[in-house]
Amino acid sequence: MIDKFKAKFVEESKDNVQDLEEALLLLENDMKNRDLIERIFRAMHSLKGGGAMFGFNHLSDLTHHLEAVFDSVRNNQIEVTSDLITLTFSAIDQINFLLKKGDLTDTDELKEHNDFIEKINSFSKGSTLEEKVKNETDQIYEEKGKDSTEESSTYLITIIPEKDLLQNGTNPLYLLDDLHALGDAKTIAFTHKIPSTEILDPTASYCIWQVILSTTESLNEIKDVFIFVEDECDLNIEKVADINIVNKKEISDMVAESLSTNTLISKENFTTQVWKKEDKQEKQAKKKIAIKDNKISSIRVASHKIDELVTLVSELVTIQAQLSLYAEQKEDPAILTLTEGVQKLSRQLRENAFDISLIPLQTELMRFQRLVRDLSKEQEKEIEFVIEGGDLELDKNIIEHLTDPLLHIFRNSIDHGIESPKERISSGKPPKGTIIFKAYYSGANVVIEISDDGKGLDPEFIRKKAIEKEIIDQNSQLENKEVLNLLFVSGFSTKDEVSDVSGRGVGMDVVRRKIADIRGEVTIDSEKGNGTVTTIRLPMTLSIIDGLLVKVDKNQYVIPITAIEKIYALEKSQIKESFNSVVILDDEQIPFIDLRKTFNVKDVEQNDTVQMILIKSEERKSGLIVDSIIGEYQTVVKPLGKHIRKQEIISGASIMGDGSISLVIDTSRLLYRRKRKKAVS
Amino acid sequence: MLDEIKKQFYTETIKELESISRELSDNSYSPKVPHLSEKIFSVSHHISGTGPMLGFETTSKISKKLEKTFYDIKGGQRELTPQIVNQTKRTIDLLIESFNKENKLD
Repeated sequence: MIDKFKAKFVEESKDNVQDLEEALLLLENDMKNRDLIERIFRAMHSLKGGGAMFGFNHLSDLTHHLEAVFDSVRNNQIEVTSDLITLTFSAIDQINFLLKKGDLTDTDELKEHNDFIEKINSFSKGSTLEEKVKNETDQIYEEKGKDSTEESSTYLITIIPEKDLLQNGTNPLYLLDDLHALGDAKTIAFTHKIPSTEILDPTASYCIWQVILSTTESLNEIKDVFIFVEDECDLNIEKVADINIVNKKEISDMVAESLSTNTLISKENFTTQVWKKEDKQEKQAKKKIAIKDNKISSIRVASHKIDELVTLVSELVTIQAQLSLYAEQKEDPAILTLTEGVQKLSRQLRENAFDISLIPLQTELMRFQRLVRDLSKEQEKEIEFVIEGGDLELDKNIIEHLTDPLLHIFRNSIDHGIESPKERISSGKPPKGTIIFKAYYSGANVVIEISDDGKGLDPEFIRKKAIEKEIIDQNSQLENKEVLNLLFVSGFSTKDEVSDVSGRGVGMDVVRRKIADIRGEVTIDSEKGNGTVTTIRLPMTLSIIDGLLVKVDKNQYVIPITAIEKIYALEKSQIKESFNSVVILDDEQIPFIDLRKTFNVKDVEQNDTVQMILIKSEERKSGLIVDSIIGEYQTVVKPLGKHIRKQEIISGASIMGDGSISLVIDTSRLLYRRKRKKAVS
Repeated sequence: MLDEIKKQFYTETIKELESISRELSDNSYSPKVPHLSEKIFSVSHHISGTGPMLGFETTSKISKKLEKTFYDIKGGQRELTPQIVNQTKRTIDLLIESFNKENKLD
């Protein structure tokens, strides 16, 4: 059970850390902003409290000290400096580490942790920090005790100690202090039972106390004060009002009267008062308003639950397809009507489920903001990072797969794109470079552009390198755009993984591969001296696509609708007589791929009329020749098994209504493969 | 023999109590208290069980309260609130005081 809470704490802390990081980035540009300082302080405070509660002691310890520093900032004792911001960024890294690792046990890690805390402490002035830490500690209790008139209730607490209470060492005055710490309180000490000195037993307790306490704390919290003395005193705690009445004149009068008559106050003394009724009505009215306003606007759901929901919806779509097929076959109007209803509902459900699995890109961008900041500082470059369209939403699975490619593209821009201030000035640019992250919707796709105003790419250099690596022939005549595309060719790169080492071209094929894994495309555009734009085009969701169901021989294939531009009906002879697999349509030369050849269909007679589906990918157009078109189909894309995952042109499979399987064609890879084959030949 | 046992019991237990007291004071907001709960329970259980046999009667009486409370906390029947932490700190100090006092009586 506790593990579940811990996991929840870690999850929630990630939000806090993200908020902290965001506020810190903003604070760097506006170091006097009180709101941001408060925001950072609050995030630290939450991390500290939660850390303590869930056994992340080192995390709690770290944030405890850092919080004290920011408290000093809040109180104008320390100023925000770049050093403090850098230190806090390092602290965020340490917090992330501790969230992942829990409490440290390794001696070296512990030493590093303690050294880091020392470093934090050096930001406070000597003992001031300790005072701050202590004050904050006290504050936690005080905050609990503080009341706002709206939320407080008033209690009458009567403490009649056993005579031997003091003999166990209990000091009742401490208990009274603790009650006062919980809110507004008035204590009445009844001393009339103290005997004369001749017969007084100094170890015995003779006093009786009554406390009228207004607090926001619960009855249990009050009872906890007496947790270790409840057997040694007669304790009575009663709620006497729903509001804070401690400072009302009637109470002062009541206290004075009870002292003068040595009579204990009872609950009935409060109920006879008129003010209670009036205030209670007000309170209830407020409460109603509060309840009305207290709508839960969002809830947190574990991501695996969303995955499960999407999987179930996908299954439902498949079953619904089977049902539709069955209804068509039976031609029963009642079943057909029902099927239509189910179809409509499942479509709505599908849209809702996918909408739930969308998360804003902004969540991912925070780390890149940090990367730009840290790397530019490290390399003594000045870079402004601009985000446009960060609130745009994408399937969480796509966002997860985007991290590595984006990281690589950003590193390239910082390491090799943006020049040093000196270089920039000498080439007539402002000393500060800019990296712009722009995201926008384009049809059923999301387009992400990462542009920098750095030195751009040198096509001649890339050409030479491609010749060196025997990717192209020395005599190849390529346009600049084609040269830039060579960066994505496997083999141009020397690395197999997206690595920390960035360099133009290094790992770009891996970037392309990773983007292609999520059915995306990536292109580069660059002008020497003026910067580079990397464009990523992504689908909005991964698991269900709208596809066109086509037939090649006996098999059915799905082509994503988003890739399709037009469909032409061609005579079989046009294909046979074409030169170099190119046909002329609408006065345009269009290359085509005959899927019969691609899928090795031999010796089967083809219809006289075939269909050519014109598809577009990364600005390349091509026709796909299929035998016939079955129609539009909502496709649940299932991943392929590991045995056939290596093949290039199929991105998944889909189960049809009749239980047969259709393969989903990856048009982008199909076109890419054709281009590569052409280049090789 | 009994004196030897008593001495050993006192020395070991007081060390534990002082360590708990230190840890509670060092961590004003008690970040380590949840971790300490087990320790507090086991020491108080030890004192309540063995203390009366060795003449630490008041100490045992006080420790029984701690034992009961932390037994509930361990079992999830009671929540470890900041207020309980606060009272525990005080009671541990009281326990040390009482323990020292009763040890000196002999």
